[in-house]
Amino acid sequence: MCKHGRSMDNLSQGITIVVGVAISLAVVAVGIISLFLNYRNKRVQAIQEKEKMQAAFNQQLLQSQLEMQEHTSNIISAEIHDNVGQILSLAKVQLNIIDQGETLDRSLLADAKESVSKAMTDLRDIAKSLNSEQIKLSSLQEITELELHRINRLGLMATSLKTNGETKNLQEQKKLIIFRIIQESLQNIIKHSGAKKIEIWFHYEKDNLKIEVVDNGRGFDKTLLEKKEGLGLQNIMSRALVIGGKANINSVPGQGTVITIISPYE
Amino acid sequence: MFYVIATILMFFASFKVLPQIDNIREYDLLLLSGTIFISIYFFLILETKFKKRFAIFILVLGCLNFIKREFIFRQYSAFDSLGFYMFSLFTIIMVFMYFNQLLKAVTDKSIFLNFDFWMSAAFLIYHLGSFVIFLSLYALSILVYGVEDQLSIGNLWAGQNILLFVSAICVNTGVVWIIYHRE
Repeated sequence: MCKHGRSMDNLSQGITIVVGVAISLAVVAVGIISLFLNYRNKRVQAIQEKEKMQAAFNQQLLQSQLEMQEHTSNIISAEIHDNVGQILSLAKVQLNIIDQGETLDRSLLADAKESVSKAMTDLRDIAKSLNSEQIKLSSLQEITELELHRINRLGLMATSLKTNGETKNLQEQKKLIIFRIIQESLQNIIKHSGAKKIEIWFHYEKDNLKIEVVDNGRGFDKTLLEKKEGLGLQNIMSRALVIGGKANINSVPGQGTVITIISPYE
Repeated sequence: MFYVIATILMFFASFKVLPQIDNIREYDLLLLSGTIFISIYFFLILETKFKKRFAIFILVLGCLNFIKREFIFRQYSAFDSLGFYMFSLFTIIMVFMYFNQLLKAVTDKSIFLNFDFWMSAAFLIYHLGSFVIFLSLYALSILVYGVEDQLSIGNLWAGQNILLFVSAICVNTGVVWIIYHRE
């Protein structure tokens, strides 16, 4: 009886322990499921965040493309009016003089022919810049060079493009957005800085492309950026963020401005 | 379908709820059918070859265990503690495999609308809790002397039934949730 009683105690104790452990493990299972759900939620949030970023990127890309089209149209309009139009007017005047003259002035005719061929060259350049494929096929450096060449022709300021490191290719869409950032920077310089010299540096680093747009203009107070008054400059920074890079604007009144854009290649 | 099968099984099981009847063979059949059902179920929901092969391995192992007990060693006298323990353990592993699969292919669609998630969660609660009971049942059976002890060991089954009840609530909550939210 005594032995049986002891074994009964052991049995009850054992059963209590086992049931306790089993229920504890079931609670652990609930904990595991909660952890699983929590981890999954975090991953869902990360995916949604990524999708939002992608949407912002696409929106920015579209906006950049539209702005570039608008910018190109403005340039073409100005080029036709100020350049081709002027040259053709001159050619017309020259031809009129030849027409009214009693003898054929060969040197004037040669001048008229030269004017017409110059106008044709300019029109070809315009046609080139109209072609959106041109931007896609050219490297960022080449299209920047074209842009600087155009500014040079205005005769307001001297421009130069310098490269550091071995050239690497950028993603197509990133290239467009970066080019738009460069265009925006150049427009700001032309409109507000009063600079006489623009220098653009392409530093091809190991993982990033670093671009510096340097001017020797009047500069500005950096508090403008904090007050969000410089919308163009704010645009530059937000665009750089969208492509996974960053933009930094350094300016001291009277000492010019340096805009630095850093973008990963991929 | 799930509820129809469960009702039929419960109907037949109710004829066996008599304490004096030796129901070891029914438990062996339950283990076999459980193994077949769960391994096929996970075979269907798991995606990678390795995971599918694991489910087939469990199916084969369950069948071999049944053949060994019923036809080779004819072990009708003792409850198959080890068999049930292994079954629970492998089910837990397959649930983790399924959770891993869910985490690898996360979508923003609510996981609560996925019946397989509720089912797997219920399996995890039930099997993680009850594999200890299955494992210790044989050891504790040695201490059984009389009817009083046998009644006492019934407490183990009570604990196991609580887990079964909780996991059933989990599945039913899932079904109600899915129906309500689909509407």
